[in-house]
Amino acid sequence: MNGAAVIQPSPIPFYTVLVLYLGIMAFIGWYAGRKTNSIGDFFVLSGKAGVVVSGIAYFSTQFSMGTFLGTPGTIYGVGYAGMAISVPGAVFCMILPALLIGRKLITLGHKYGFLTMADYLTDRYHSKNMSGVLGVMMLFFLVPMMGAQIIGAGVIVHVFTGLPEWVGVVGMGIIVILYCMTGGMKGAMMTDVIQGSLMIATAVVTFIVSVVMGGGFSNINHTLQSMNEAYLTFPGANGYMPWTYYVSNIVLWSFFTMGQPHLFTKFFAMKDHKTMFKAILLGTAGMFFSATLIEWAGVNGIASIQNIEKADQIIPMILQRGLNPFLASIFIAGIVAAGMSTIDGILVTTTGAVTRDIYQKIINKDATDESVMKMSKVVTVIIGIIVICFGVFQPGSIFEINLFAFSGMAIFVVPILFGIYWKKATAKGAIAAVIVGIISLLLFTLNPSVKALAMGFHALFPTTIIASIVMIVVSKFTETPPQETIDRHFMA
Amino acid sequence: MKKLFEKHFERTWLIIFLIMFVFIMIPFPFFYSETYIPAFGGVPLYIFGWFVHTAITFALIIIYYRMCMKRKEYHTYDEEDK
Repeated sequence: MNGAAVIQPSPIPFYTVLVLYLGIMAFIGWYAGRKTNSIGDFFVLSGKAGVVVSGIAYFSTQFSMGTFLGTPGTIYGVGYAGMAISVPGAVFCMILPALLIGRKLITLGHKYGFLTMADYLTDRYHSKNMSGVLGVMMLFFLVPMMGAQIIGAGVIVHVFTGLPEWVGVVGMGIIVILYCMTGGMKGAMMTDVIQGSLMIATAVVTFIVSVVMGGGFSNINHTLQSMNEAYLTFPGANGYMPWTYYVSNIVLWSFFTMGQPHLFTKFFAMKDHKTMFKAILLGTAGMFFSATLIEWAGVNGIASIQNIEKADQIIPMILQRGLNPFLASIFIAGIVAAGMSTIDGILVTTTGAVTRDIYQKIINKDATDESVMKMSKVVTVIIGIIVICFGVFQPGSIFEINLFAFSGMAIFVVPILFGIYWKKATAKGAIAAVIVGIISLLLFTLNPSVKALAMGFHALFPTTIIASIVMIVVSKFTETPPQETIDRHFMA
Repeated sequence: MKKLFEKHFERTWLIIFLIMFVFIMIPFPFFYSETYIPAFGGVPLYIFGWFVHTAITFALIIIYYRMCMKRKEYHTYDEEDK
């Protein structure tokens, strides 16, 4: 055991590796920008993404700083039971969305040229107001989701250089804005491939280092048992994972990913069904291996490193202590990659929400694609600056912010599934379901007496049931979209 | 059985995956245990239970993919790409 953990800054190797890595990413963003010719390319790569790009981009967009810093940080206080956050449900995180909505989205994308979630909802519900509601919700929840990523950059910079966290937050924010502004989705998906590969390598190396540091599995588990046997059982050392929360996590990170606009959009980018399946196999394997190994490393860290300043630091500290500074910096770049690939995917999607869904569809219907492309770059900068401010002020831990933002967007599962499977679903029903869903989510999250009514399940469970009831009741009493629209969606 | 896959292909597969999805939520000791059951290297048994369940589900995804590729409706956009 190493006893109390002290941060040991090694700034020169860290800066050298980081500058090289960011330089490569910036070059790719610039290169993709030269090849980005149309609005379709900018937002969803015009339905041309192949297997490797689709599979790795899906998993690297879903896996974030939350997965690589926040989740192992949370697990560090729980033990093996904490791995239930991602591991048992990981295999379903692409196949469930693909089965329930994927095939239909690929068909609709090819037939009618849909590019974003707003395109789908607006057309299905025959209402431009759906775009506005989605756009506002995306700004409200996706800005914090991006904020959580750059908070992670701050933690890494602090551990490796000793500098204050805001330096990492601002630095990462600027880099992401620069390459998203130039390359759009093409830049984002190309960098996603490199970032995704680096993330897998980081997970593997961190796991091996953590096992070696702990003296092998038997030694680690013996140490954990002598420290507190609850590290090896449910509900974990701090009681974090009772059965109700175990079930919640399995459903949360698989079924509810359908409501995330940045993941939903990826189906429109896939060129055919074969690509979708191969992407599922590649993406699922990548997600399962990365999540298992990095989270297991967080458990192993309990036996080797104690008394750390902040639980989010456990993975950077394992790398820093177990490897020489240059190697540690290379693999820490894998974690920076996890955050960057999530931000770039979300930043492009959020920019699309403001420029296409709110501006082009509601405010200025005559705006040309060319002017929207120009405007997108300015909007990317503005949103990026807001995200940097959010990261500097840090209103919570990486995991908490990520979970809150994810849950907010997950409410869109209700209008999406009803839109796909129920012909009588109406726009008013969908908007009412989303608004009531948000109020319910906030109440079940923030009010302890309401939270108790969820009986230990995550707030999204009762929220989804309530939103579905609202959807059915309001739709029954309001006008359904024209038959032509229904035919278009149900014949596809 | 063959008829079930032919007539209700999508629905049958959805049910298969939903069964696997619900199965892992059942608190069997090899998925969820409040007592310590050591397995290889002292690692709790439920970790290996998750791995086995994941391997089976992954194999089912491969079978589903192969069956889909034998169906016409999954090749609608192949020509477009060529």
